[in-house]
Amino acid sequence: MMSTRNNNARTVIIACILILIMTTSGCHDAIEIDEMVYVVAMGLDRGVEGNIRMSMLLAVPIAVGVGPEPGEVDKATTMITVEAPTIFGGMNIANSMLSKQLNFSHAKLVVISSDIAQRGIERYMNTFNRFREFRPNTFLGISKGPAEDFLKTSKPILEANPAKYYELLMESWEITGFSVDSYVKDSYADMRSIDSEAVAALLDVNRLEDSSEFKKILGEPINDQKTMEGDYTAESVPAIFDSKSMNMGAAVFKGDKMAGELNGRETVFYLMVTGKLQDAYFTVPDPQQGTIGEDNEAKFVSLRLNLARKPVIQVEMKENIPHITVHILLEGIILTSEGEKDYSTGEGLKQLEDFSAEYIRKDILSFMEKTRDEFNSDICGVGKKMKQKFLNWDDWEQFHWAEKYQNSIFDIVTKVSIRRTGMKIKQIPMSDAK
Amino acid sequence: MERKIKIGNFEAACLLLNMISSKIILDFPRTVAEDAGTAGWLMTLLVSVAVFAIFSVISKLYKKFSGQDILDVGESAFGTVGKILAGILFLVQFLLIIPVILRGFAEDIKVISLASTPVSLVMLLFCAGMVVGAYLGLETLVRIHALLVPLLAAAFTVISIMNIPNFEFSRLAPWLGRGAETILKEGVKNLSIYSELIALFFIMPFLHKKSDFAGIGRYSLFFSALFLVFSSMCYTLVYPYPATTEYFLPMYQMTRAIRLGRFFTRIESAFIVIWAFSAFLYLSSGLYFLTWIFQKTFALQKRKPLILPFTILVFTGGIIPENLYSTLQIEMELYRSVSWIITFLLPLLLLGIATIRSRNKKRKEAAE
Amino acid sequence: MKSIKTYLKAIFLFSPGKPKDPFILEAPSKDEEQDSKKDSEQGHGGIYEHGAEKEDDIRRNKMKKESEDKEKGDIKEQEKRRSKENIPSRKPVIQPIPLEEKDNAHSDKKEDDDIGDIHASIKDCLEKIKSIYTADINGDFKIREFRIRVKGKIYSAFVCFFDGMIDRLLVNISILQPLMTLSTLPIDTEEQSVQEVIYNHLMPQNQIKTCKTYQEVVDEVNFGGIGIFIDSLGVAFSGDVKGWEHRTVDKPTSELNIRGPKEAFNETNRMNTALLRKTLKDENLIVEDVLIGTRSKTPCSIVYIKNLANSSLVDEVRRRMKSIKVGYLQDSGELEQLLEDSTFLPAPQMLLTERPDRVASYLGEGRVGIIVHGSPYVIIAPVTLFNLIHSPEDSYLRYPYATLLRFIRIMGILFTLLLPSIYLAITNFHQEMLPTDLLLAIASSREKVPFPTIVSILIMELAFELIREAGIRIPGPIGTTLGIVGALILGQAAVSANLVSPILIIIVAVTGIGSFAIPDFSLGYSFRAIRFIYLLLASISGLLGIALGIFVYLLFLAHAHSFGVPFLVPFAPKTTGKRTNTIFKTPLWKEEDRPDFLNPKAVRKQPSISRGWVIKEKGVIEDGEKNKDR
Repeated sequence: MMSTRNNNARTVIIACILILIMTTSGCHDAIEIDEMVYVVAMGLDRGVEGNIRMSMLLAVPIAVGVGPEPGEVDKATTMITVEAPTIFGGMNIANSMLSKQLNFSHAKLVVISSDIAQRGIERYMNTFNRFREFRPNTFLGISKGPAEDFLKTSKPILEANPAKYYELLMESWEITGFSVDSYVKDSYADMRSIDSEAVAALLDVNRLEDSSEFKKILGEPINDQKTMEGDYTAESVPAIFDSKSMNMGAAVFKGDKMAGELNGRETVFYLMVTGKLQDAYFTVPDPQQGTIGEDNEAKFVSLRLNLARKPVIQVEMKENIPHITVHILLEGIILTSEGEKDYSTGEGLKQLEDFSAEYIRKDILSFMEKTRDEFNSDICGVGKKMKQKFLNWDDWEQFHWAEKYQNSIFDIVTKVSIRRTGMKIKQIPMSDAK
Repeated sequence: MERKIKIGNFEAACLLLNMISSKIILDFPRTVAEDAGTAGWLMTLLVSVAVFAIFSVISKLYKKFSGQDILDVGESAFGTVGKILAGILFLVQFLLIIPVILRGFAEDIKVISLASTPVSLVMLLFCAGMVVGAYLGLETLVRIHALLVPLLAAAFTVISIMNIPNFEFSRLAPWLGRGAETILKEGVKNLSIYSELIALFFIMPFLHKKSDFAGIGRYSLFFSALFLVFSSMCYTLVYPYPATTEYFLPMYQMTRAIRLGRFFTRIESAFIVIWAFSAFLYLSSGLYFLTWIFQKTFALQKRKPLILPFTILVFTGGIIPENLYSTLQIEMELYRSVSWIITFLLPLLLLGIATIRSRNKKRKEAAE
Repeated sequence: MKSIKTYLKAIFLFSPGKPKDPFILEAPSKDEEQDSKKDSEQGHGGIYEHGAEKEDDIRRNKMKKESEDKEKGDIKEQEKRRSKENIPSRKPVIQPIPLEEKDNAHSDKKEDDDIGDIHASIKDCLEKIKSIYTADINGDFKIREFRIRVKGKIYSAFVCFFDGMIDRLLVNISILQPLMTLSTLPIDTEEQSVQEVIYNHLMPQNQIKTCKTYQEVVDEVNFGGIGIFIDSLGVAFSGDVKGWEHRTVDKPTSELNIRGPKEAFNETNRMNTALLRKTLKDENLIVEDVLIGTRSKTPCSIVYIKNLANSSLVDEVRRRMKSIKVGYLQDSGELEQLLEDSTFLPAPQMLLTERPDRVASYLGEGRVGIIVHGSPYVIIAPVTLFNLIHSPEDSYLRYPYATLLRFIRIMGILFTLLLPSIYLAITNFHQEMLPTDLLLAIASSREKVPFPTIVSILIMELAFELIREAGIRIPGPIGTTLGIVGALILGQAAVSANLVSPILIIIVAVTGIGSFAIPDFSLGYSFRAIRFIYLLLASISGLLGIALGIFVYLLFLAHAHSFGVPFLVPFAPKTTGKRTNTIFKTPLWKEEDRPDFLNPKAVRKQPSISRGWVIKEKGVIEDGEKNKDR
């Protein structure tokens, strides 16, 4: 039995402490949800005199709404643009204009214009990593044009909620392969480390107004080949939609500075080499190029590709030159085969596998060479493999991998295995039947 | 006096486990990354093996004295003076670290969520839990450890598992981090990771089965080593090396990185509860030991009246550091470099001398 | 003034409590054993009482002393021996007694003093009884005078009883009839005294007691007995002829179930013990009677199974019961409050059930039950928190369902305790935790609400509690209707009046529903009350406050005991590595041991293979595999 007196004392102590805490606290940090306004996406542009121009896309809760009537899409977001020397300076200006307090904890996307990116984004990355409200899982995008325009023209038409719109837009690479997953935390880690370089999604406003303007883009073929579906970067894609924002290709960094850009097709190869490719529709020309039909139009085979296993990257130093071997094993499904020849069985299947492997190998090689010659940036993380050959951090640091990379020699080995052929197991040309 | 306390093996191991491993939440993965680079986990492993060895020596010596706490051993080694001196040393050790930990946890919470609440208020909240815990006594404390520590361990495992998509194994390279020499050199200092093992020598008289103390020590050492090594390894796997030294709260940073689909993200706030539990457990047992050592050292009759003064002392000590950095400095530079001496060398010394003296006594008795 | 002083002292000096009771389930040390013996010897007299008694004794004559001693319950013999051996040998410790208490003790004594030994003369007896019961005013007190003839002599006699409390037919047939008309029948009675003849031959009633003091008779008569006085005997007889109106065995009202027996206890002590015996069918079941209440003398029974319940546990229960000094005891709810370890702990430390099967199963684990006359609820002790969240139906349901139900119940408890506070913490402190869609939804629904979240939660929670309390108080079927209608209309109206946001209504409703899922009534109350504390803590510092609340709450629970058994056992302290029937249900055939924290006299409940049929014949081929050993 506890003595009552003792127990009383305990209750009194607890009561005292509680009262003390309550009276002294006054709920410092408590803030109601409706006293804040939530930034969904933020754009950074270069302003005058080295200032930054911040555009913040705000969610308007009443319009996003709940209850019986759906929200109004047009009013779901509103934008505020301010100019200040720092991000927090901009936030202060914005807060003095807005009735509610800005909150970044639900921001989904940070768009930085390539103008800024080319000068280096280290200081912004540091901001994003230090302040609690900026999330490590925010998407990072580089817009070719002004970020402000990008945010202004993007409209969540299929969603009521703008945050969902940006998330889904930035995740579209998982099914297309035309863009990259670029979280702030990953980009920061890559910029910070000396064994790999960062990439970020490439965004822009699609400036085409009408499908008649497609000619402008599709005018001349690239590399003497037919322009394939991924051969664009974000600003010029033959597509017309109410929302003009486009997510295609990738911005390549060297250190914290943007070094160049990849188009959609090259991004697929980037994903292949880094092992991030999820599932992508991929088009290869009909292996029997000679059999172009009477209509004299190119025929294609569409595959759905994914990585059969993680790519194997090997590095060897020979005479101070890195020899890099990349083994890529893809597996796929035939989605369609337009030509007359049937690639579903036997010989044909083998022919298609070999052809597409070689086709992809060539493209990957040219992509790798582009990273070496044009960007001089090891975005595929070959350095991570090199690093494992070292025991001490200091030795690795003094090895200066980044300098070595520009002399490297590539050897790409690819293999494509077609596992399934879709709903058909063979295809009989119509001409045969007639 | 309190009634006879009895502690089961599992509870005692849980107490030690939390006392040793709660630093994972504070700064442990970062500090080892600072000391050993990418090989922080390796250094921790080596340190754990070393501590294991030291502990088995101590436990062998202790077998004769099982059922006595380290102060009793001090008494049989150097008499009352020895007991008081040893007691004061232990007191100083606890008084050095508990305010720092209190401040550390409070700063944690302030950074994580309560940004504009004054730090003293957050500390007051922690003190509230601490006082109640120390007031209700060791038995209640170990019971609640047995209840919550498995929960904490589960939470830690969940964080690690959820971070698997972020793992990149090449981040562990280069394998020796800042070099073998540095690992060994810093390793000695890092013996202090296990300085809370000292608590085992204090709860010795309360153990249900006195002879099991070595087993309890090994058990808790093994699991805390597991968690410590694992935490520093996971942290290095999630963030690349130079960046690992940048973050204030490694585990929190890891929970921030969790993203499993669009819905299961931004869950780090839920772990505040876990951090807080660990802090409450650590602090209240710390305060308990403070008062208990004081009582035992100076042979006082009552322990509970000491709680309030010591709470005030701890609270004040926690407020003294001017900023976050100096708090960290006290912990990393002052405490780390000293406490392993008190935890491991002092007991070894006391035990050694006590053993020799008791042997001499026996010999004399035999001679007579 | 004095109490404030003690409070202050207690706060600032942290004065230690009195030494607490040892963990009673361990074998008590010698000293303690002696202590407890002393306690039980002293019967229901505390230290104060004895002091007072001692002083009185010296003043009083020996006669009175003896009669008083005899009143003291079931330890007559020891007392008798003692009084023969002269009083000083007892040497009770005389302690200073506060004035008030001393006075009280005296006044209590004086009332009791009026009753003494039974007179030899029937006239005196009649007068005495009349004065005791104030017979001329008391309408329901009946006295029937008559004469009997024993061994050729006529004696005056009377019986007294309370009308309505006795079985009239029984009195007529088995007491009055034989005494009045058959008293000449017995033969071969030369060697027997008159008293013996009457007792042995003339009262064919199964429970007749010979009483020497009025008090004994009065106690019986007060409890539906009959007092029989016969001239010149110097003793009286009392017979148990209870026959009052009572409820029949009914269905349980608060512990509803679908499976399992549907009998419930009712208000009569003996009927309850009979129900229990009927369920248990065990000769080792002990029903130990204790009277509680200096005035009401409420019969209570300690029930336990002799060769299962730990004897120090039974001793402790007996010690606590016998030490209780109250005027009247009406219900087991009162007794619970008098017996519990900690009054301020926000959790019940005993389990009250109205189901005989539940009591039986707990007794079978080695626990002790307490039946109180007048209460359909039987107390079970000791219990742990996990017993309180089990429902009586659990063991009748198949293993998978019961386990699922347990989880749902635990979820309900967590909702009740924490849901409003977690909602408050997240919306006010940790907004990033919400999914963005939900966040925007809450933000827009709160746009027109004028109150801060904490206020609107408090409004709704209090309204809910109000509906609930009113629903119980309103008579008859209107109650439930009002509850549902009230909640619906109130919620809907509150939303449309922009008093609260619709999401908050969901939170409050789920909290309420969760609280209904708690099987123990008392535990439900405690959780409902505590959730307000969590709300306050959450409003101060969000999840940190909740963590503080949970930590302190768990500390108190871990500190608590129920009759010496730690409240959170077997988790804290961890007592067994085996599967126990706590959070998970154990398959029935796996419940091999009784809970070891109860230290029952036989730990093993059933052999490790309790289903004999699983042992297959050796060499039988099953599923292509040769069955080797079992």
